[in-house]
Amino acid sequence: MSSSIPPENDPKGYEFAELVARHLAGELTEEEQAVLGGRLREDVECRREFVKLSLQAQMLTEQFATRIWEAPRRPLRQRMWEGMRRSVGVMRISPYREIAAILVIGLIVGALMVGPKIADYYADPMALVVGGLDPQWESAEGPLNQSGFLLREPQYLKGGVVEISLKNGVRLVVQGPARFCLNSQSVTRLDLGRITVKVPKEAIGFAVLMPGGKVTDLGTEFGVEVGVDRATHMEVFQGKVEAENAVKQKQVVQADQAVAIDGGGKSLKMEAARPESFVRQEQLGAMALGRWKSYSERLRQDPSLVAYYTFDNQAEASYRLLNRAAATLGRSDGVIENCAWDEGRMPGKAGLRFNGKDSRVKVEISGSLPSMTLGMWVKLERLNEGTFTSLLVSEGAGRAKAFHFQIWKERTINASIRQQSIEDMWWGFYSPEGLFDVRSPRWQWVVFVYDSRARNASFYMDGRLVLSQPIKQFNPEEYPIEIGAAQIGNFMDIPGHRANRGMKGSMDELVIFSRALSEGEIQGMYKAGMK
Amino acid sequence: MAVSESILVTVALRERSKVIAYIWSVVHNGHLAEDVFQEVFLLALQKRDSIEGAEQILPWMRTTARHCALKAMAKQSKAPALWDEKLLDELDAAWGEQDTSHSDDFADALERCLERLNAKARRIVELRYGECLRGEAMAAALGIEVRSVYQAVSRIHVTLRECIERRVGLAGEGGR
Repeated sequence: MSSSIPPENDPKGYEFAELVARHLAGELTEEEQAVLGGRLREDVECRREFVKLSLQAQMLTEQFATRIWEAPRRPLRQRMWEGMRRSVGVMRISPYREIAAILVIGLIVGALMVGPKIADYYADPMALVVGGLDPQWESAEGPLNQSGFLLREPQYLKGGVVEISLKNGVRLVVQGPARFCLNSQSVTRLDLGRITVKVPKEAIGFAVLMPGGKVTDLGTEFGVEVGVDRATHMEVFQGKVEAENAVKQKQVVQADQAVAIDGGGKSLKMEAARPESFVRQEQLGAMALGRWKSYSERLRQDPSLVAYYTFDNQAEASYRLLNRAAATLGRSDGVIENCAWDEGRMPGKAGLRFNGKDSRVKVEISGSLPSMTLGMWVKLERLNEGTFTSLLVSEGAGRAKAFHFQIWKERTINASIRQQSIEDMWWGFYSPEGLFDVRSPRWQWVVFVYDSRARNASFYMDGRLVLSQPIKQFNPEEYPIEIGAAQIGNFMDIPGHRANRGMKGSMDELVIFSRALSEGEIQGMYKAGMK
Repeated sequence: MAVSESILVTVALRERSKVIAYIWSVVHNGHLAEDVFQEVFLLALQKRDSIEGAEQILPWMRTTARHCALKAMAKQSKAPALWDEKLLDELDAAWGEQDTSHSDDFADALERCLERLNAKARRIVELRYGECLRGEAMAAALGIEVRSVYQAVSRIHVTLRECIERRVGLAGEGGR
């Protein structure tokens, strides 16, 4: 068909479609935006086409979000590496292939390491693992990115239970063994295992896809089980859902009812509910609390404990923070100032809330610690602008061997030991950046290990080693840590240190050992202490 | 008369794609569009007394979505250079023309049209919409230039749009 409209002005042409596609991807330059705006203002047909293409883009997103994958996808980085190899392969015909290959490798490896697009993809803060019981993941590196967000890739939970919180308020409890993938905020795919879903009102319409069909929430809490034969059992605990099989038969299922869908998705029939098969959010919290109590009782007897604040003594002494370490019992109790008792990291467990101004707990940790492990559960709501946020800081900053444990503004953990009393010089250790994201406050298990014998300092976040640094600048045996009088969650107000370093957020459990714990011990503490 | 909650939920779920597409076209970020949609839906539930009849649900959500989307853009400090009030009004009229179309018909047609794409085109669509990759990441995954990625995407979009129009048109004439 011939047309008198120049191709670049044809509302139904490729050029216009490209402008719209790049607009939706947020990739138009200001000039191109002006061009698109002009076209839309001038021509009603352009506006109609713009609407159709935008709607089509959303429908495509939904189509792929609800599509059954035939095989687990390989990680994105691996696929990008393959793309890069293809690019280099094409260049073999060039006489300058070596140079070209090096440039391409440099560019793409650079993009893989620091490229904002890829980093954005991985950092999409859609889902957090907020609790669990002995989770065992298939991938050795785990399912989380550095900030603790669950990667949007197929996951295999070999055993245990995890609780996942989505940005829209949806809570998922996944019971291993389970193969699943969070396709988007509103769609999760379950290929094997059990999942319990609790959907707040604003996220109504949340869907779980199974091999034989899908379940769409209509404001509710429900459980889905997919067996090795790909058959589905789905039941509703509260509210109602709509179940649908592959041939589009639909059934609204009410509370205490259940349906079965065969693996091929051809049948859909009511069957008896079996709620005892599913772990629900409240049950997970109660199970986690019981496990932690049992672990905590044993931990108190560890002779290397210097101090152990369990943050559970509100009923006994609401203005004090009691030290539960058997070896130092009756010593090192803290005095609480302007903090509020609040919910801790699991239901039924208390924590202390710090207001970011004048909240603090004053403690006295006596003794000299040639090696030390310090761990604490924190939930940060804000990081102080341009300065530190205090976690545990020695008073009397001018004292040699005083200790500061705090967060620097780039979301980096810092541990510092004062070199001498005369000059304001410190031996400092800094973790990698980006370990905290105060836009999505969550409980995090933060650990610092100072090992003078091995001459090494390490940081751990949620049981994962994030930095292991040999100590070369000084002899750590000459610098044992002496915490002394100290503040939890704040910093003393002295001339020259007027900036507010108070912590805004919550703390729940703080432990100090007089030895360097192994990586396995730290992971064990994290697993025992997580919700 | 105000709409009941069950009608509101039914219509909002049925028309969800249209509202999110509208928001996406304003905020040009798919993830942000989902967030804004949830805010709009919650507002609709809270203020359903002000929605007079089922046929007003979609226009009400679009008006609210416009306000929420612009607010979200301002919060992210992204100046919506394209979108002055007059243009938004004109675009609203074009969106309004879609109010009577059936999302299910559109989705069915799209599914069938996707099946007709060749393997390479399907791969591109999957990277873009299945994995939400943007131009540079798609180019790296495919081993081609960014410019070529969007040329390919635009051709696929036009092909799909034409295919969908044919199919929906046929269905409307009883030829499905």
